[in-house]
Formats: sequence, structure tokens, C-alpha cells
Amino acid sequence: MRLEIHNISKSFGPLKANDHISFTFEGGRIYAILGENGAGKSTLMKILSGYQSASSGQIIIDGKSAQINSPHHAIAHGIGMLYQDPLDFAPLTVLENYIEGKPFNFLMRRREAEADLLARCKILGFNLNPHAMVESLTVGERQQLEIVRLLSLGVSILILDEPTTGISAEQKSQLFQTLKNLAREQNMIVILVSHKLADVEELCDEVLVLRRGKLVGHRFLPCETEILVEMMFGKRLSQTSPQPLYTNKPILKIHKLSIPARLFTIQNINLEVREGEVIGLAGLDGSGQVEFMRVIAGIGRPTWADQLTAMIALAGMWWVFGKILDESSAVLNLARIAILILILGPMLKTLYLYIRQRANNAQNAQIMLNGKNIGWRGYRDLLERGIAYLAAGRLEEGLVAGLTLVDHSALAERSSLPHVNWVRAWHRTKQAITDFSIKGRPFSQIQTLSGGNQQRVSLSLLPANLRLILLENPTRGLDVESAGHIWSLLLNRRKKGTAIIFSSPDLDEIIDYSDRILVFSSGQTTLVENPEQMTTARLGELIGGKS
Amino acid sequence: MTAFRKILIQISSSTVLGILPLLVGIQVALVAILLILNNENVEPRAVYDLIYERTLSLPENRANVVDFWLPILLCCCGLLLTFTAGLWNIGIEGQITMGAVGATSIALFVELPRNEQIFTELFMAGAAGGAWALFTGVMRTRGGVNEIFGGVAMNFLASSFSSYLLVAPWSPPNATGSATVRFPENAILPSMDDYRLSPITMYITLTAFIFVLLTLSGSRWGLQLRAMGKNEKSAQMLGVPTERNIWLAMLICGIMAGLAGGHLVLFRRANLPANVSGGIGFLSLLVVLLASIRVRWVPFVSFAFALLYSAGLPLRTRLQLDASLIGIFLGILVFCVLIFDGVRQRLKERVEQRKLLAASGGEKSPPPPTVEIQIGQEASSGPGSN
Repeated sequence: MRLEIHNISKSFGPLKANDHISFTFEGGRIYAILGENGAGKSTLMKILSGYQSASSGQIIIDGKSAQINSPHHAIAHGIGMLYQDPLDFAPLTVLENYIEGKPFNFLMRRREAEADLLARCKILGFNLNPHAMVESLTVGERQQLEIVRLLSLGVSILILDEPTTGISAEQKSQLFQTLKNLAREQNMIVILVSHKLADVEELCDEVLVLRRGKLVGHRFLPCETEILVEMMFGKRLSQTSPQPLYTNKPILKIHKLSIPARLFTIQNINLEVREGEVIGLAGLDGSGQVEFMRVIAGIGRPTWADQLTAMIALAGMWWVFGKILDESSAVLNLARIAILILILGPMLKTLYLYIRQRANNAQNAQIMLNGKNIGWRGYRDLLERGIAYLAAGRLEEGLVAGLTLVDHSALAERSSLPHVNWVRAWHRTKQAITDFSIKGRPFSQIQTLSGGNQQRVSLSLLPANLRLILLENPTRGLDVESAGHIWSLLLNRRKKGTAIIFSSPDLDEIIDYSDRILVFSSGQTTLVENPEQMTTARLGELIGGKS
Repeated sequence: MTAFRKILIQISSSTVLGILPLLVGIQVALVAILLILNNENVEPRAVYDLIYERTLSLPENRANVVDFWLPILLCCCGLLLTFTAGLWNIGIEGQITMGAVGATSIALFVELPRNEQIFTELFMAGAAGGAWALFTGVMRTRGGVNEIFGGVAMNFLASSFSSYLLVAPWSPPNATGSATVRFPENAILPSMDDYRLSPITMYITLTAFIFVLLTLSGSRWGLQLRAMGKNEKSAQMLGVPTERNIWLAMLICGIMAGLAGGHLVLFRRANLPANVSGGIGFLSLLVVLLASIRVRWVPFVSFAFALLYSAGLPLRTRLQLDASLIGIFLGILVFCVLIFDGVRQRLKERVEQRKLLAASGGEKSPPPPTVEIQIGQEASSGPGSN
């Protein structure tokens, strides 16, 4: 197996995302593609996997020139890509997902496909239930399914984009073993795109470094980490450890809290958060870390007032219908029933959520902020009281695509004036661009900024006097430098006494930045008091349920 | 990149030529309309002449068009607020109907001095329309019922309620239930001396338009509505009081629709007929869509709609064209303009993205203030605790 790329270039207007990149990948070896955000890694991989076409250049597979214009073409040439968030269909079963994408057959031939799936899983050491719904799988299992599916399509060049995001240490170890076996035993080419140097050093044979669209380095591993970092950023980065800055004054007390999560209901959570403290939440995807933070932030909790309003609305509507409609008219009665179903459905769902929430917290659960119960307050109210929440989906829950940086600044400003002082908003934005090193202009629309810059904007919009910041995966998709900068901005907040609770699938990040770690595993929580004595392997074991 | 694409992108980046796709959309729609007319064996020139003759040629015809235009514009003003906030207030028909019912309840059963009578009628029209819309808003935020479903239900209820009133309590003696009796003169909105136009409705509409224009172009509330329309969740996370804003936008829209309903019964009809709204709520929805929720375009687009609709009856009687064709023509126009507006938006987004990529591509980012980098090693360098 041999993959050659010659002078691959890709331009977006005046910007060259890939600039005459040439390299030869040999079968049986595992390659890493490194580079900071915007270096051109994703563009190159998208060109290889058919999602984008190159402006110029040539791809040669086993000596033959290949025209790759779509993912379908790429798979026909034996190139498959595994995305960070696998491209599967959550409401279908494992088997149905496996069958999807195969050459069209009118009959699905489930039995044959199931036998084939199980045989491939056995060879690779995977344990997938063909009849399980994909939405019930962990990210690691979904990756396994995608690997098996791609292999069944005859893929011999496998590209993986940040595959260790969202999986446990045990799953990572299993994935790496699988990839090594595929490369060694089946002479496959494996290409790993990752920000995590530790992963690269553990798995890969060779490393390519891209910077500003150009291939700036190639090394055989093992190689000193500092050399790779210098090639990536063009400079050496300092490695300092954050110092603990917390006091003994508790600001948040959580008592006997129970939270329904996707995989389990987390029972009886007790936690005391101190001023300036950083608490990392570790656990498998769906184990309740996000739900825990959302409950503290007052997001998505139905209240008694919701139920009362819903019931009054429903009763009122029923009464009006009863008064004005002719009972003997079948058509009108049908219309009446149809409309009531339309309205009743969502209302009953809200009622169900409320009852479930009450049942889960029947034993005097409390969330106290500075001694006051905040258990039934909504997010906006809590934001005024000093609790802020930053979701992982920056453009889904945090920033508004279509609005500019100045618009965001004006929106986040707390003012009772009816009009917006645009000049002041513009000055504040300019100041934020300088203070938070945002690459963008005041009138840039937010969605045109990179992920790291969006996260910096989010942080710049937070009120100054916060008591607690809750963050979902704060450095999601960011390179080492951007992630470091985000953390420096966050940790600076501790000096004013702000506590931080964050969740991350990256165990290194949790260990490095947390004063204490709350581990979520199988519906239980375990508090780790001394993260400095913790290793990723040990943390992985705790997540996996080993005490 | 091909030269053609380059030209397209350059064109779309220009503010002046940004409206080109819109013009193309109108052209495409006109071609489609001409094809339909050709199929019906009708000369386009004859249609144009008839529309002009029956709408703009004489002062009383022009007054009729304006009288038709005002309630549409009033409804559009309300819809601009809800659409900006991302609320599809389909229930506007019901709000117009309830406004008409509210005004009628005073006109038929309360007798006051002229000024107080008119004020009370209009107050009731606005209150009834506003309450009807607010109820939909409350169901949206408190009960999780989408405002489209809620709006459809409330339209149905309003229509049934008005029919019930016409059949039973408000039915004139020996009547079929198609309308109430004519209101007393004291209860009818005053008209201008020369033309049959209501100055009160004109003032109300002008005030509503200026209010909406100022709100959406420079106010904090307008910015909040815009943010909610693009992403309600994000707006909430930025501290925008989304629930209050939904209620307020629906309430104000309902008040405006209610006042439009009040105008229909207190001036145009002088009684409450069955199906009082006559579809002007849905017509207003089309107008706001065609104007792409731009405040400044709404008066012109709504006037054009009023003009075409006013010509509907003569088209049927004189040219034997089906009156519903006017609705089809407007639908084609809205459809084409929306499609080409979508093209314009996509081109604009691409240009903005390329500009930023080009700007950031060659730049070096300023150094962060204090960089604390942890390169993925085992946790030997973690922070101390306790």
C-alpha cells in the first residue's frame, strides 16, 4: 500500500489553506498530522477523504492517479475517515448502521450482515451488540462500529480525526492496539490527526507538521516533545503549572442531589465548592457531568409555575371548546381532538419532566449559593447572582451566529437604558479583542471566527464579578496554544475568588488544572482530593468503575 | 475558482448590487406570471390597465386601496416584532378576529359620548387581540407548545367563537347569522371629509410603524429580539430575558392585530360579519416574508399587495380570470424572492468568511498574557491541593 500526494494546494480566496504539500505514506505505518488550529490539517484530510477537492495537485494510490471528488469516490479508492463525532445514525441499531453505506441491495440481508459484523468484531476484539441502538453506545463503541463499517467497505487507508476525544483510557488503549494491528497485520496506512502529543507519541511511527498550510517538518518517533511543539508553533512554549488559589470559604454547597442522566441516574451527590477552587468532572460521555452542571446553573428545569400555567391553559381551552362547539358535529369534534393532542402532548411532557425531577429530589436535595437555596431559580436569575455557564456547543448555546462581536458586547451589557450605546459597545469590543487576543474585527460575524476565538469571545462576555463558572469541555477542538490561553484566562479569574467547575473528556486536562476531581461512574460519584497523585490510567480506572 | 464565481462574489459583496438577486427573483416571478396569463389567453397589458384603472386612476379608488392597506400594514408591524424574535405568529388571524369581537362587544352594548365610545372600542379591540396572542406566548414558554400549533388552535377557537356569537347571542332578529346589526353611528370611526378614510387608523398605523422602526433599528429590546430570532438558547445564555420578550412581542403584535380587526368592523363594515379578517392576517405574513423582515420595505410591499388584492374582483368580472389567481401570483412572487434572498445570504456569508480568513491568514496572533501550557504528560506537574 502506498499513498503519494504531490503539490496539493487549496485556496480560499487569498488564503492558502494547503500550499504545495507533497509526501509519501507507506503501508504498515501510522502517521500523525500535527499543527495548530488553522494550520491546514483538516483541509488536507478533507481533500484525501473526498469532502473537498484540491485547487491543484495530484493523489497517487499504488502508482495510479486517483480522482477523488466525493467521500464515495474516496471509499472506492480505499480511503475512509473516522470523525471525532462518528457519522452514524443514533436512532438506528448497530446492525442497521453497519448496513448503511454498503453497495445498494433491495433486500438488506440482515442475517448475512450480522454474521459479517460479528466476525469482524471478533477479529478486532470489539464487543458490539448488533441489536443495540446506537444512541445507547458510548463514543468509543461508536468509533468501533465506524471502524468495522469502514473496513467492511474495503478501506485500506484510515484517517482518524481526534479519535481519543470523549473515550476512556481503557477504550483508548484498545483503540490504539486495534490501529497498530491493522497497520502491522493488514499493511494499512493509518493517519491520525490530533492535538494531543501524548497520543501521537504513544501510537505513531512518523509525524508530519503543518504550519499555515505548509508542510514544515517530518520526524520519526520517538522524538522530543519540545521539538514537535517548536515545529508546530514556530517557538517554544513555557510549561508552568497553575498554583492553587482557593480559600476555605465555601461558596456552593450541594446536598443529596439526584440527577437523571442519559445512561444512569446519579444518586445522592454531595459537594462543597470553595472560593477560587477548580473542580474537574471526569466520566464517560453521558454519565451525568453535563446534567450536573446544568442543574447547578438552573438550565432546563421545569418549575411548578410551568405546570400551573399549563394546567390552567388546558382547562381553559377545554371549557371554551365545550361551550362553543356543537357536540353532534363529528368534524368539529375531530378538529377539537386534533388540536388538543397538539397542545396536550408538549404539556404532558413538561409535566412528566417536572414529576420525575420532584421524585428524584424527594429527599430534601439542596443547592446553596453563599448560604441561600438556589434550587428552583432559572439561569438568568443565577447569572445575576454570579453563576455563569459556558456550553461545549459555542454556536448552539452561547453565541449567536449572524450577530457581530459588537452586537454580542451590547447584548451582554447589563443596562437599564432602552437604547444601545453603540460607540461604547464598539470600544468594549476593541478592548476585549486586545485583552483576550481575539483574532477578529469588531464587526466580524461570530460564526466566521475559529473555535478558539469564539471561546475567547465567550469568556470576554462573562460578567466581571462571578462567583462560579461552569464549563463544558472548555478547550474542545483547540490546539495546545489556544487551550493554554483559554486556561490562563480562566485561571486569572480565580484571583477574584471565582470558582470553576468544568467537564472534559481529556483526562490530562482534568488532572492538570483541577484542585479536586469529581468522578462520575455508573450512577455514582467519587471525589478525588489529591489530583497531583493521580495518573490518567488511575483516573480511567475510576471512570470505569474500579475503586 | 472560475471567473464567473469570482464575479458573483464581488457582486454580492457590494452593498449597492446586493439587491441584484432580489431583482432576479422578481424577474423570474414575472416570467412565471406571464406564462400563466398566456396560458389563460389574457394579454398582460389588459391586466395592467385594469389594475391601474380600478386602483389608482381615481381618488376614491386610491382611498379604497389605502383603506385596505392600513390594517395590513398594522398587522405587518406586529409581525415584524414576532418574526424578528423567531416567533411564527400564525395565530394573527385569530387575533384580528378577537380584536373585531372585542370592538363589537362595546359598539353593540355600550353607549358613551363619541370620543369615549371610540376609545373604549379600540381599547377593547387591542386588549382582546393582545390577550389572544399573549395566551399563545404563555403556552409556548410555559407549556412547551410551539407557537405555530398554538396559533392554529387559537385561530380555530377565535373563528368558532365569532361564529357562535353571530349564530346565538349577537344574531339580529330573523337573520341568518352572517353578520350583526349595523353599529350605531356614534360607534363608527370618523371618516375624512373628502375620502372614505379613517384618520384615527392612519395615526395608529403611523405610530405603530415608527415604534417598530425605532425598536428594531436601535433599541436594546430590538437587539435582544434579533438575537432570540437567530438563536434563542444562546440569547438566554447571554442573559437575555427570553420569556419576557416572547410574551411582550406576542402581546404587542396581538394588540396591533386587534386594532386592525377593530378598524375592519368599526370603519369598513360597521358591523361584525362572519370571517371578519378575510385573510389579511395571512396576507400580512406573506408581506413580512417577502420583505425579508426588513422594516423599511414593509410599507411598500404591503401597499403593492393591497393594490393587487383590491384589483381581484374586477379581474374576475371583466377578464373572467379566477380571483384566486391573484393569490397564486403573490405566492409565486414571495417564493422566488425568498429563494434568491437565500442565495444572496449564502454569498454574503462566504464573502465575510473569506475576508476573515484572508485577514487572519497572514497575521500572527498577539501573545497571550500568561500562557500556562500543559503538554499531554502524565500528571506529575498537576496543581497542588489541600
